[in-house]
Amino acid sequence: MTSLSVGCGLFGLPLDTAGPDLLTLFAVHGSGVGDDGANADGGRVTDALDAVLTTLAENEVDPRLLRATTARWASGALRELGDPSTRAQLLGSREMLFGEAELTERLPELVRDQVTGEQVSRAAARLRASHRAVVRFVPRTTATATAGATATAAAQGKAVA
Amino acid sequence: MTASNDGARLPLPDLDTTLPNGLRVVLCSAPVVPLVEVRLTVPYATTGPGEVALRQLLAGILLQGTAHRDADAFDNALATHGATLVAGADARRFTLTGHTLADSLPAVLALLAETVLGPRFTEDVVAPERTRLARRIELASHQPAAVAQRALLRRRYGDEAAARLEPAPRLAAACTPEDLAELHARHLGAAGAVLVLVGDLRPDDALAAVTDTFGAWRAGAADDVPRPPSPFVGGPPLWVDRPGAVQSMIRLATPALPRTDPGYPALHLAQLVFGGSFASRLVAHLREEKGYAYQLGSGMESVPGASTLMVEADTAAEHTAAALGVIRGELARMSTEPPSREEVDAARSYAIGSIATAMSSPASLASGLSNLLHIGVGADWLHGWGPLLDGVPYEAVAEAARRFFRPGDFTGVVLADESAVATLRRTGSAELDF
Repeated sequence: MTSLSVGCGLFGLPLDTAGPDLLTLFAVHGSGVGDDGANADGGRVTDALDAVLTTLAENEVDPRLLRATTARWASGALRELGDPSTRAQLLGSREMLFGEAELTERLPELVRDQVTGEQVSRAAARLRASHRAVVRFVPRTTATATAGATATAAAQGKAVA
Repeated sequence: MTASNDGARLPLPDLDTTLPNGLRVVLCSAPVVPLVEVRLTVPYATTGPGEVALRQLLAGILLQGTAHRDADAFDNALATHGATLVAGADARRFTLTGHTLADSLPAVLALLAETVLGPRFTEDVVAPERTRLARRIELASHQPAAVAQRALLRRRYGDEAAARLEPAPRLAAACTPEDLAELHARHLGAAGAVLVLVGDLRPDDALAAVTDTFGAWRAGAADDVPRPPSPFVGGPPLWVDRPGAVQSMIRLATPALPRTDPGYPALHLAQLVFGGSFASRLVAHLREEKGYAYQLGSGMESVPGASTLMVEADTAAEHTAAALGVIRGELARMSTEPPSREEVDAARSYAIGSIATAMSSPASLASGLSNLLHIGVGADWLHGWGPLLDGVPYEAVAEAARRFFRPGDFTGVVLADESAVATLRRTGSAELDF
């Protein structure tokens, strides 16, 4: 695995759409041998995601992990609010989407102080059962081009519902 | 200028003091959100060719645990306080950058001190980091911008001096935990280090926490500081082959005044008129009138004791020669047609407004302060910058325009396909007419 990130929202911050938020997992992994091999690799990524969701859904969430996660998330969100232009943008978008600009300023504290392990377990259970879409970009390899150039120039999107 | 610029005055640090071990502590209360931004800079002298890689390796293991806890435990401890730390190193300094929830500042300073004073030098930590770093240097070295940057450094300072500013992956690959322990002992001392804290803090309490956690840091060598790079001379730009490139990268440089020089503000204004702002002469001519380049401009690159005036443009390959011609013409025009009063006043407003905007969050203020202190200006520099610019006479800007923009004083590189520079090449040489 070259890189892996998971987060809520389309552009890195949660609550950026009027509908339910998306959980987005972004993984870059080694290429397989042809499509089947690549599919197998991608499948392992989603299998691993499901395994983590199952663990979270069926077990008590480690309170120390919960505290560390919410604290770090809250401080990241506060940091966004420290920048006047980002703050204005967030206040504006949440007013437009939810009629609730002040949510922006309350969110860090809400997440840090009020999220419980049970809530996290319930959310994980719902994610496991929810619809999901997998979009994969597979570089087409040719004998003449370098791998990097091929990945950019000839990336193919394959959507799997 | 108008009185409204007073509103753009940036805060003065509430406290600027040096502990007995030589650690300078600069604290700025900015309670915008309940966080504190942390910037620790430890400067050192540049050494042998490629050895930046060793410092980067040391930086890489700084946050991978300490004598008391492994990497996971260390990161969990930081996370519990909502804290994040990132370590890095270049040819002149280590930097540790991060933030923490305000009420956890003492605990996070303790964690920071724990790793700075006693990192974990074990093979299981060093080995993966060695591989990661070597791969990262290797990958970065193929980016066109990095290739151009490396070629420009060589053009400016010669191969040997330039290599002292760049990491060599093979040195990282051969580095042992013992080497790192030795590097740590030699370079990571308190003398000359600067800790900047900006955010929701009470200066006295924060200073007490810093003294508690960093007071026992040994001073280390006081003369382990970067020396100013030697000045370089102008000369024809050098062509660097990038076969098949549809885009050319032009990078030109000339020695300028250090930020601490009284003439710097006038030079900065001249530079903004030339190419340092969106409304500048170069941008208007090259981008808007001719459409030769979409990425271009001028800027000042500052390191301790020296600054360099840089001019950059990325152009479509077929416009390379024409773009170089326009740049040369605009440089020469700085003498024949020095910045007008209107141009200078516009640059002044832009300079004052843009720095206020750029420093408007605690995070950017902390980084800005930390960088400015590293290159040797006082902690009150940001506060005084607006009035300083207001006081620059028009004639001083014209004088700077005549003195620092002579085309012949620039050297540079052009990263391009051979066909893009064919008309400029001097016979039998990679040097280009400019």
